[in-house]
Amino acid sequence: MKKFGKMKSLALAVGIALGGLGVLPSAQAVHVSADNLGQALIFPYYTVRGGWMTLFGVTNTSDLTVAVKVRFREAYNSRDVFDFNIILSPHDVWTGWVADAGDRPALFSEDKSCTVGAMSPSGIPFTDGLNTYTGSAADGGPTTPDRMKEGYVEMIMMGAADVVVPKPADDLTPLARGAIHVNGVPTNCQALIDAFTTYSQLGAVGVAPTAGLLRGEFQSYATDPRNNNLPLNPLKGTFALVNGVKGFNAVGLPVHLANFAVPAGAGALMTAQLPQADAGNQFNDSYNEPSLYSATTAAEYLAGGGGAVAALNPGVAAPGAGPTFVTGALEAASVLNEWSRRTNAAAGWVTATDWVITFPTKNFYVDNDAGNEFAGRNTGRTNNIAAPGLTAATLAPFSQSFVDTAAATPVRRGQSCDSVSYQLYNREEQRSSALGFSPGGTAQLCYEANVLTFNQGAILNSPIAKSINYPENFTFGWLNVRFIGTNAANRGLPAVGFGITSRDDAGSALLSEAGLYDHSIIRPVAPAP
Amino acid sequence: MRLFRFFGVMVLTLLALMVTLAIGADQQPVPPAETASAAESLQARRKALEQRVTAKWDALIRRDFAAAYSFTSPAYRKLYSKERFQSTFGNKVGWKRIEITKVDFKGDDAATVGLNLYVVYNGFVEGKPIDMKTYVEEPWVYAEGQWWYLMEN
Repeated sequence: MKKFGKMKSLALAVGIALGGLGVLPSAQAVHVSADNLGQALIFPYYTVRGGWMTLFGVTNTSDLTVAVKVRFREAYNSRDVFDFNIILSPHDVWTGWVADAGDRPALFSEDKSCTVGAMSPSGIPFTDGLNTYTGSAADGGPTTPDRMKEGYVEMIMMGAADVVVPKPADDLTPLARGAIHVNGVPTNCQALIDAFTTYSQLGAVGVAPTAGLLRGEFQSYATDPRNNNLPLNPLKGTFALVNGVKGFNAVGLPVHLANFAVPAGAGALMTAQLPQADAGNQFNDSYNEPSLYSATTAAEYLAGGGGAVAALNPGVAAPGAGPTFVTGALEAASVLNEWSRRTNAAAGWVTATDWVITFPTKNFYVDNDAGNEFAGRNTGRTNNIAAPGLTAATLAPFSQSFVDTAAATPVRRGQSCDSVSYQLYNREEQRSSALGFSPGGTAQLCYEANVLTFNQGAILNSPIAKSINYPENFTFGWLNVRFIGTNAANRGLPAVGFGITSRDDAGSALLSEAGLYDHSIIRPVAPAP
Repeated sequence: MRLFRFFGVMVLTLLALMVTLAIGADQQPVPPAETASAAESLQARRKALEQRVTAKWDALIRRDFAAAYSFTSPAYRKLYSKERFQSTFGNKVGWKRIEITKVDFKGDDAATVGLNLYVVYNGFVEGKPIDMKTYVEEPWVYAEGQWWYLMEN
């Protein structure tokens, strides 16, 4: 990662020297940040199963006060099971964690930063999340609270306020000012809570700087007025998986998406912390947004091999632009990583590996339910597909609907599968010749956050895990997962994730440990059709 | 032919009546003393199991892995050494206490125990220990006159 970062810096330096010969990233293009700073963060996985707890941290590295939407999405179909807002004063950090509260997760935090809703040291259970996949919102997947126990998390900057200190006579940011700490404590979180939960205090998109209106105060997004109007990418994230029963942990970084959006007007990504019905029946003003659908800038990434900047699959014009943009930034033809599975206790080493592969924009393609504000495709988002429903073209790069209420026979499948191929190697170039898979026997990934395990290692205790079973006496090596669905041809799939390996050492006490390694990816070889 | 049918129907009716009476006999109200006895027995089983669960966790809290190992099932101990058992634990978390919230018996020789586990996490990023709580379910089995923790391999 550091090497890559240096290569990028070198490319930038050369590009600056060459004076705009087309090798620089454009000023605003959503991309995975090699510098690990961004406007939107994707944490590939959270779990509270099997004694696991998941901790999160987000830092505001800027001089502005930044509002952040935090959203937990369950693993099956990315339904929003818990969301809230954090208002980070300049240089502030927020931390919190989720743990199993019995039948469902709960969020805990000891942090003092302003949040909407309010935190509690005794935990906030994921109570209302059940409504997003049961009753009229049912999608064919499980309908119990247990479904919320694993998934992934997105944190998206909603807007930034330039709070002038000391306070001027004509203070234009009294709400944002309340987030700034005095003696380690924000001065007025309640005013922010009231504003985010009172629709009349949201204001209109594009409103002029106005005290007391969220969109009037959090006016900045794409550029930083405190830093020569350079791109504003203030967020840095961290996370840790901690197993309270086993006593070990593994830490990682989220995917940082830089230059996520250039909003259509001031405050466009600021929303009320209210359901659509209480937000003037305006979907784009409700807690359903911003989402990864809110990206507005065409995707770019560094092409492999030459070091030159290239824009592949940069996105298409609206409607439907949002997910295409982030999908373009994340597209991968293959995902690669190491694995280890050694169960010979006599040798003193016992290792196990699980992989996570998450498709964080998949729901915007496969979840088509016009009247359901929690579906990826709905009328509020104006990306629903009318009768006769989803087709290969509208599903692409994915292959199968999860929900399609516009189909002649409405579909609530409970899964949405994409074909993959696995090439499993040991460390000595040998490739497994007879891979098997369980359960199911076919090589498919059917959820939005998928877990793979190797020869039943199952360290993440996921009930949706698929096991890759190999007959050879391999102990460790690497795996290449290729996305081979017809609709993924030349596009790949938008994938993020990591491998986590645990190691028990019988020679030493209390030295069981785990490590977490980000996946490598191979980009598609040609632009999307 | 009709006569045979008549006798056939009569025989079936009598048989059905006998079965109904037999079932009815089984469904007679249980005398209060027997109900109380069953409840006491269940309570005693639950108490015995909870004592074992608590004792196992007390051993882990003391970092007495030999004692904690002794609560694992005989089948596990045949396959895995005390050292192997101990090697499955790391040092990033300190166990503080438990609170049993649920006991589900599955027949006479198995149970799932739900408990709140209170730990302190020594994360290096945080720079200070964090008190955390999570819910955990444990499988226990009854064998050789005792409850044992069914440790995953």
